[in-house]
Formats: sequence, structure tokens, C-alpha cells
Amino acid sequence: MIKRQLHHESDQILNSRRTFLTSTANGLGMCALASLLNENCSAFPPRLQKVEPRAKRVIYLFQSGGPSHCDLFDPKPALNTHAGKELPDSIRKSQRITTMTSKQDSLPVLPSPYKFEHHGESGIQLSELLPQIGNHADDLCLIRSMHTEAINHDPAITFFQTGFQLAGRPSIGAWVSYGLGTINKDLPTYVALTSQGGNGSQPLYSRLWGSGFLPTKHAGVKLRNTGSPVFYLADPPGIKRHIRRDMLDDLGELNRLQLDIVANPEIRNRIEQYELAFRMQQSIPELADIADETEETLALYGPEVTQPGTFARNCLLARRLAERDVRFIQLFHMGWDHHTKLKSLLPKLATSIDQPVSGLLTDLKRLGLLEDTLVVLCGEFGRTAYSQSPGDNAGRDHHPYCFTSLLAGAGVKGGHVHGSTDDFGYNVADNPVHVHDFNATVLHLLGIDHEQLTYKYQGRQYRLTDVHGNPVQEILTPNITT
Amino acid sequence: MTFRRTLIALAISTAISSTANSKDVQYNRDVLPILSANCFACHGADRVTRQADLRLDQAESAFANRDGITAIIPGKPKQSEVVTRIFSNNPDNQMPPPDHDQQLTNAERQILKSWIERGARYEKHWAFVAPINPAVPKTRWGTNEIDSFVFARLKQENLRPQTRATREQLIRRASIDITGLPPTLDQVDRFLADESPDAFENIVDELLTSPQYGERMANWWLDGAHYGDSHGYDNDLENTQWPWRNWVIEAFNSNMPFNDFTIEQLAGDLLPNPTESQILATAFNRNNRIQTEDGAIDEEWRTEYVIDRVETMGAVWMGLTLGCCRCHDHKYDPISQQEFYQLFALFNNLDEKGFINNLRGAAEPRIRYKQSLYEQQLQDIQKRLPDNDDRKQKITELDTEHPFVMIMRDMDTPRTARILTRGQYDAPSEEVQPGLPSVLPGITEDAPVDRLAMARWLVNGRHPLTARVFVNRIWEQLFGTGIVKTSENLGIQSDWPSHPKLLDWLAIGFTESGWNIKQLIKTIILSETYQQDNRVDTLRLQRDPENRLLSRGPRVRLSAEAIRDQALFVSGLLNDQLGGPSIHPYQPAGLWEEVEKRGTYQQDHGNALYRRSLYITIRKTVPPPEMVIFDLPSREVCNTKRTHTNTPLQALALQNNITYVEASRKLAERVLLQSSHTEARIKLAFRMATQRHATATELNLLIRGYHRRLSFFKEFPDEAASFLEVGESPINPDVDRSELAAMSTVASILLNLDETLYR
Repeated sequence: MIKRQLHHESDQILNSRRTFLTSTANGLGMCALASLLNENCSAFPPRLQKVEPRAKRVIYLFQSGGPSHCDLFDPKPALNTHAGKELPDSIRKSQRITTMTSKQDSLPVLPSPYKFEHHGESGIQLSELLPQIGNHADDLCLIRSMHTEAINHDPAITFFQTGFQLAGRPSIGAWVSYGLGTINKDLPTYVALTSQGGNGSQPLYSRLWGSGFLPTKHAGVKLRNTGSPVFYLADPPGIKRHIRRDMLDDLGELNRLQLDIVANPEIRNRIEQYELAFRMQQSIPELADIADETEETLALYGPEVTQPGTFARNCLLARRLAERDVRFIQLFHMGWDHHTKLKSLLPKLATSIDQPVSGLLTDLKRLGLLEDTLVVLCGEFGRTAYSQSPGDNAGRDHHPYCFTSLLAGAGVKGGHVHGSTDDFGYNVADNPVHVHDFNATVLHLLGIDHEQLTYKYQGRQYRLTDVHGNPVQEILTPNITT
Repeated sequence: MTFRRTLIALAISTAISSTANSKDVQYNRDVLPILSANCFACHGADRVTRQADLRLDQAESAFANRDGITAIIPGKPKQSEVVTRIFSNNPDNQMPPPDHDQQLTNAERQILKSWIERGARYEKHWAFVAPINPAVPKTRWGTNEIDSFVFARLKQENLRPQTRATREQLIRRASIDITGLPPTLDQVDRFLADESPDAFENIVDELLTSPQYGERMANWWLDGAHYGDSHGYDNDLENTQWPWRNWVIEAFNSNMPFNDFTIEQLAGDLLPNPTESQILATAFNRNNRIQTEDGAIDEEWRTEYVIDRVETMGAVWMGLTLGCCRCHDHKYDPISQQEFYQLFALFNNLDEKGFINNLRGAAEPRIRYKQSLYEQQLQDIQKRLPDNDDRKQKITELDTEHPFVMIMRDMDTPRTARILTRGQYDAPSEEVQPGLPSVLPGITEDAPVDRLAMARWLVNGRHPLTARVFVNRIWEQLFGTGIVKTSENLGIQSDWPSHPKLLDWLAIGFTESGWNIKQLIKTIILSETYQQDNRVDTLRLQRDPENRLLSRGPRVRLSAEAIRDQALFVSGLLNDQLGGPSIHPYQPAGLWEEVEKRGTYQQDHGNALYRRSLYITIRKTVPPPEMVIFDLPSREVCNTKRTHTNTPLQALALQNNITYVEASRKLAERVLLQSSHTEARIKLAFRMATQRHATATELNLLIRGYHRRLSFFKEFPDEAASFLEVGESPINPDVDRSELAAMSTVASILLNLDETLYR
């Protein structure tokens, strides 16, 4: 045996002494059974008949708190005519509202303080608060007829992410990980990033990117803004890369010796996971380090891109993740819950996403990534046409009966508006799209029939869309192959 | 892909052929799973979704002649409409319809056909019929009846049991299973030296009497109860339910019979003259999340808590998914929506709020933990100390030791319970009275049903589910998989048991022993089946890939808690203080703050860092990552079954988390102080981690690695110094820093061994 000498910062032994996955005397039968026992295999959903995939990956920009659709995406000039007047009963229709405003003496209509402008050849109208997103109008598909069921944040956001208002079900990204698996070899399949918005933000819960009853390996890996980007990623101080490699080689060798005796295929899986972890220690810091981005690229995303944790920075990271074929990339942006002081708070938030989202779309497009990446922007519900607080402090309450989502990229029509709302932006007027329809559409674009993606738990086949949902066919571009 | 698919298909067909050959088709084992998965959604118990008024879950409806057409004619498959339809290629009449989620395989079609050919005999779902004491097969292998059942099954498959495990394996397995901790080397050596025939039994007895047994069992029980240290919604501030965790630990340690354990937790408050402890036990049903988000509607959430209690009781005690009946009759199990709300009525009578803004601590109804002791000590303080800061301080401390705990307490006048249309709080319909599902044997007395009557019904010895569910879950703890694999569900959609008679034998034995939990565990562990070596070979992998036949000993990955506890234990860091408030060990900085600004994480220091993992604070919306990575289930909802994954995040946690880096250093320090020879030191460390002696190959490999890294740390002492600074425990000044660093790398490798993560 050659005695090896370890040197500081020596790179020569960063490769494993032995190609991993070689050992074992048991031959092919063992390998086959190993893959059978391997979760990657047995957890593969049965009878998953794929529809033609249009998107290879998703960048999902979740605006948590409930962005005001009638101030951003869905112009309602009629609100001006009714300013300060009581919301008509014919519009409210005795539908339930939260106890924050059900206690108010009146529900006075609040016009939007913002103008809407036509954009592009399609002429889509967007708020003056989103001029740069407006520049992409001809690539955007707006669904103005979204609706949901819950009137509070926790159940509403949980419903959006998991198809059920209460905790316990897998998130959409976990379903995708389970259904499609990974397309890269050294990064997670589902990555979640969070960024702070204004004050008094609604909290984000781990369940939003959790795996529910699916095996925990399908949970989103949260890329953190401070410290180590992934939990426990960094080696302890004093353990240099070559020392880690050296330790890992000893560990692998000992595990292989055990595999030869016990012959349990799970040991082989363990060895592989350690090698993947080692690669992640390299690939994730590379991903998070934006030093190789040009000034020009950084400028696309706006000045906040230089600060870790901002929505702008996370948009840039989303592009870097997409380039590296992470399948499901989800950004959670807090701070859209504007019950009061809409006029001072909303412009701040809108500005904080306008350039980053625009920059992201530009960047994806010029790299050719928009062709097979689906970009989604939405919140858990919209906001009321009536005012929650009086005078200059006016804001809007939670509103589940209609709101807007935006899509762009792979498989969706650009410059397209689907559905509409009544004059008050209070009820869906035509082509309603329920959250289950929306989720079915996202899965459809990824090539998954949402009715086929099931997992048996507690004696029942569960799916993301429960027993509901239809993909919104009208927003899809014609399929090339059919 | 094709290759993989073929393999799966192959494995599935093997599994089916091993249970059902053409001569022998049983309704419960072979037919019911097919009907249930493919047909019952439209032709089952749910009145609302039923098509063509046809039920295939009942002979009466299936055999009825409808205008000359009969779904099933026993003995006459060709004239049975079901057979025609399932073999049809015509999309207009084929069944299941072509757009249905589930489609039959050819093998499944053949099973249905031959069942009809042989008379289409229906049976009541096995788990809804009380077990009958089975005849024990006569075999020559084994130490008790468990082995007879297992051996008989192995013989059918031409398999032989594995040889007995080594004593080191055995004591490690038993110790971790019973206490959640590995044995000490002293215990191992005593066991190795003990030549008496009772040697293993003595060890098992010793382990069952250690207080760590209660902690390990409580840890498991908390999942189903979905215990956590916060309210679970919105800003998710802390509660003070930990005294109930104490209750669970003490109940297991005193070997409280499972019937009392059940009655006290579900209805301790309704017992005549209940003790403080019996009332505390009912906190089981107050582990539900509480809505604290402004604007929430009170009744919407209060309703959710009641539903949560019904679902949790159903899942934990009966292995049923009662939640399905919230909105409609159960699709598979014969339980109606009305019956669901009859159970709902039992949990609906608390004077509780559905929405409490910014709730911190305990909501009503509540009691002070050990009220009488608290009052005595309070009076003592008030007598002893003048009214000053010192006195205030003492009272604050006393309040922390005796917090308020949320418990069950019914109002004098019960609330009217109504069926909720589609399960919605704002759509009440007809009134219901408390009651129990009629499919299960009822209560014989005529007295009105209340929570206490329900609890007693569960453990009356005639209930077909309770004992089976419990022994199956204990079996799952010890073997990794239950006798019924779907341990979370014993309803009609459950998997057929691998050893049905063994399950019944265990269930009956458990009931007849006076619901003696320790005795149940002991019986299983003393079986030869449990004591087998866990090595596999090609034959066993082919014929028994998942070890459902038990052709070898169980190889089970340690739980999240046991992995951390083991590292603390072998490094000598473990603080074995029993019970008390939850702890705040190392956690990645900023974790709580980055999702919610209102709750800051205040990490403990000193001895509290090293307490057992079941005491780690679980903030339900931000659970501790070092536990979640190793499959701690969400404590937001009831979960009775953990998954076992194997991921790169686990590798990162075990290599880099402060807990494990520090434990490696302390383990290294231990062996450096115990011996002055490298070889002896490494031998010892290996044995502490795995309980066995390292082989010469293993030892040489570790020694060579140690020397390579030692020369590195000698050359770069600063690197050694910064490595050793990880963790708050002091570094022993008597050991050489380079040696300590190098030995810590060896210890870290040992704590990362696959073998160390399993038992």
C-alpha cells in the first residue's frame, strides 16, 4: 500500500481513490434488485402516462400575502365611479369575508390610485407600478379569473401549494420531484428561496415546500440567504477539501467492506449519497456565487441584486438554477398583505419586483431558456374592491373570489389574457380558473397528467388536485407534434 | 426506463403469485384489494357517487338481477356482467371506464374471474372481525410461538431462517430498540461473558426497566399525537404542553396498561374523581394547531380542531382514515358521514375558542401543571420571602416549572352537533347524537355514549382493531415494517398481512396479558425471529426482497432522535435528565427569524445542549432541520408512520452539523485519555460506535488515515485549532491538539458509518 502524504490545498486527490459503485461480488442480479429496493425506483408513480412536456423546468415566483389584483393586473375604472360608496349587495352576494372587515360599519369602494397602461402589440393593460414587466407584455399570459377558497393566509397559501387548506399534503414541487425526478446530477430537484418584503410580513412555513406524506427526499431544499446556502453544507473550519475527500474515501471503503458482508443494497445507496453531498459542496457555492456575472447582466435585475436575500438576487439565482437544470425553482417573496397604507406600501413592493422580474425574463430569453422554462407569478389570493381602513390609511382586505396570475415561457401563449372579472374586480365574470385548474395546468406543461400523478397513503390514492382540476387549454400554445 | 419498468412488473407479479395461486382465491386477501382500488369509488359504500345503483362491496347488490342483467352470478363467470365488462375492449361498456384513474391488469382480471368461478364468496373485511385465537403451527425452530408462525411461512417459500446474530449485534439491536440508545461497553462485555441461558433475557429486562425506555416510547407516541411546542399557525408562538410529554414518559416507564393509557388520554377528565394526572393525560387531544391569524372566523377553526381530534383518534387507535367521512360517506370502509359526525359530537363540547390572536402559552380550558404542589410552593414562597424582586423572581421560576397545560373539559351543556355538508363549518344540516360506527362491535350497555364510553369501547377486548393496530405498530418499530405493511391503515384499502395468524396471536396475547406493553415487546424481542442475523444473500434478496417473510433479522435505520442521541451518548456528552421543558440546542443561525420576525431562537448553553432529542423544541411551522432531514414527520397533523430516506442532506448533516463535529471531538478525547496507543484508541472508538471489534482490514485503514491527517494537522496547527473550536464544550487541556484533531476525523468517520446509522 502506497503511503499517501496530505498537503495543504492539494487538489490531486480530490477524486475518489476508487470509482464509486464498483464493489460487490454479487453481480448483476444484486444490482437489479438494488435498483428495485432503491427508493428512486419503487417510489416512481404507477401508470404515470406523460402528456407532451412543454416545460423542462419551472421558475415560480410566489408573492406571499395577496398582491392587489385591481391595483396591479386587472384595471377597474368603474371603481372610480363608485368611489366611497357601499359595495352593492348584488356584487357582494353575501359571500363570507374576514372578521377584520366584517366588523366594519361599511364596505366603501376604494378606486385604484394607479393608472393602467397598454403595452406591446397585444395591448395588455398593466399598472403604472409595473412599467418594466409591461415591456414583456407580448410574452405574458395573464389569467384574470383565478379564484380560491380560503380567506386567511395560512390555509390559502397551503391550498395553493398543496391543493389542501390544512397541513400534511405534499407541495407542488415535491409532487414534481416525485413524478419526474431529477435532471441534473449534483443539485436538488426542488429548490426554494425566500426573500423579505415590507414590514409585518406573513410568515412562511416549511410545509410550503415540504413533502407532506411523500418521502422527505422530495421536499424542497431551501437555499438560504445567510450563512451556509444549504443546511450543514460547509465543512467545519480546519477541514479542507482534500481532508474531506480523504475522510470520505476512508468512509466509502469501510461502507463497501460492510456491503460485502451484509450485502444490503441500501449501503450502496448511502455511499452514493455521500458522493452526491461532496459534489453539492462544490456545486452549491458555485451556484450561489454570482462573481462570474457581468455588469450588464447584474444591471438587468436592478440595483438590489447585489444584496443577498433580496427578491432581485433570488431572481438571478433562479436563472442560475434554471441553467443548471434544477427542475422546480420557487421564490417566496413576503410582504404583500396590504390591509392599510396601500398607497405607501404597494409601490415599494411593486418596484421591488418590477425590474427583477423583467430582468429575469430578458435574461432567460436571451439565453434561450424561456423556450423550455415556465415562469409563474402569483399570490394566494387577491384583495377587496372595498377599503379596510379609512382615508389615507386605506388598504384592502383578503379576497379569494377573483385575482390574477401571470405566466410566461414554455408552452403558454404570449400577449394573452384569459378570463375576466366583474366591474368591481370582485367576482369572476368568465372563464373561471380555480387553484386546482391552475395546478393541473402547471403539471400539464411539465408533461404530467395531474390525474395520473398519485401516491397511495392511508389507503387512498392522493393527488395534488384532489378530485378536481382541468388544465386550462385556452392558454396553451399549439402543440407542435399534434 | 423499460428495463426498470420490467423489473417492477416482475417483482409485482412475483408478489401476487406468492400469495394467490390459481387453486386458492380468497376474497379478503386477493379480491378485495382489486375491487377496492378499482371499483368501489363508483360501486361502493358512498351513496352520493354510486353509479347504476350497483354495489360491489355487498353480495346482495352484486348478485341482484336488474332487468335480466346480473353483475355477479356465483359460479358463472361467463354470465356475470362484471366479467364481460372487465374483459371488454368496447369503450362504451368496459370497466373501469377508459378515462378512470385506475385500470385492471390482466392478472387482476383473472383473479376476479376465478373468484366468481369458485362461487364469489364475500367475507367481512378481516380487520373488522375480532381475532380468534389461531392454532400455532408445530415447528422445530425457535424460542416461542412467533417463530412457529414465521418458520411455517418460510417453509412454504422454501426458505430457511438466518442464523442467530452475534451477541454484539443483538445487544445493540435490543438496546436501541428499547431505550433509543446503544449499550455501554460495560453492558456489552457483561453480556459477552454471561454464559447462562437467560443472558439475553436478563439484558432485555434490564433495558425495559431503564428510564430511557419511557423516553424512547414517548418519542414514538408523540408523532401520532402530533405533539409540538407551538400553536402551528401564523406567527406560531410557543405553547406549554411539555408536561403532557412528561406524563407519556412516566406512563410508559410505569408500564401503565394500554387500556388505562387509552382511557386516561381520551377521557381522563370524565373518570369519577379524576386525579391531576388523569386530567393532564387528556392534553393528548389538545395538540391540535390553533389558528392565531387576524381575521380568522372562530367557528371555522373550532370545527377544524374537533375534526382533528376525530381523525387523530381514528388513526392512532383504529388505523382508520375517518377524515374521509368529513365530506361524504367513506369510499372504501363502511363508515358513513353521519357516523363521523356522531364521533364529532363526542369531541365537540369544549368551551374553547377557534381563533385567538397572537396566542402564547395555553388556551382555555387549561389546568396548572401539578396544581396542588404549585400552590403549596407558592404559599411557601409567600410566607418565606417579603414582597420584593427576589420573591417575584422565585414566583416566575415556579410559574415556569408549573405552566398551564391545555386539557379536555366538557361544558355542562353539550353543543348541538350537526352533519356539516361537504364538511363545511358554515353548512350545518341535520342534528346528530353521539354514537359509534355500526360496522364495529358496539357497546352492550344502554347508557348514552360519551367520550369515556368511546374510550372504554376501544379497549373492551372485543374491538377488532385496537389491539391489532397497536401490536402491528410495535412490530413495525422492531422490524422496520409491520405485519400489515400499511400500519397507518387497517381499513379495506390496507395491505394483506404477511402473517395474519401471527398478528391475531399477538393481538389476543396482548389483550389477555392485561394490555401489558413491556411484556409484548419482550415476547417479540426474545423470539428467534428477532434475533436472526440481518445478512442477506442473493436467494433471500430474490425471494424476500423486503424481508416481509422475515428470512433474516431486521436491519432498521435509527430514527432522527436516536442518531443524535447515539452521537451524544458515545461521546460522553449526553445529559440524561428526564422530562421537563423543551430545549433549544444548536440550530443554523437565523432560521426562525428569516421566515417570521416575531419569534427569535434563543439557543441554550451548557448541559442543556446535550439532552435527548425528544426534548428539542418543535416549532411546528419551522421544525428543527437536523430532525426533519432524518425524517421527523410534520407535527402539524397526526402521523403514525415515518418514512426512511437516504439523502445527501443527511450526509452533510452528519459530517458538518456542530452536534456531530463536537461529538466526534469528544469521542476522540475519550479514547485519547483512555489509552496511549493509537491502535488501541481506534479499536476502542470503533467499538463504542458499533459495539463490535474492528476487523484487521478496517483497523489498518483507519490507522493509516489517522496518520495521514495527523501529519497534516501537525504541519498546520491553526487548522487543527479551528477545527477543535467547534461546539461549546471545553477542550481537555491534557490532550495533544494535533492528535485530538486527527482522532476527531476518525471519530467522525465512525459516526458516519452506515453500520452506525443502523442497528
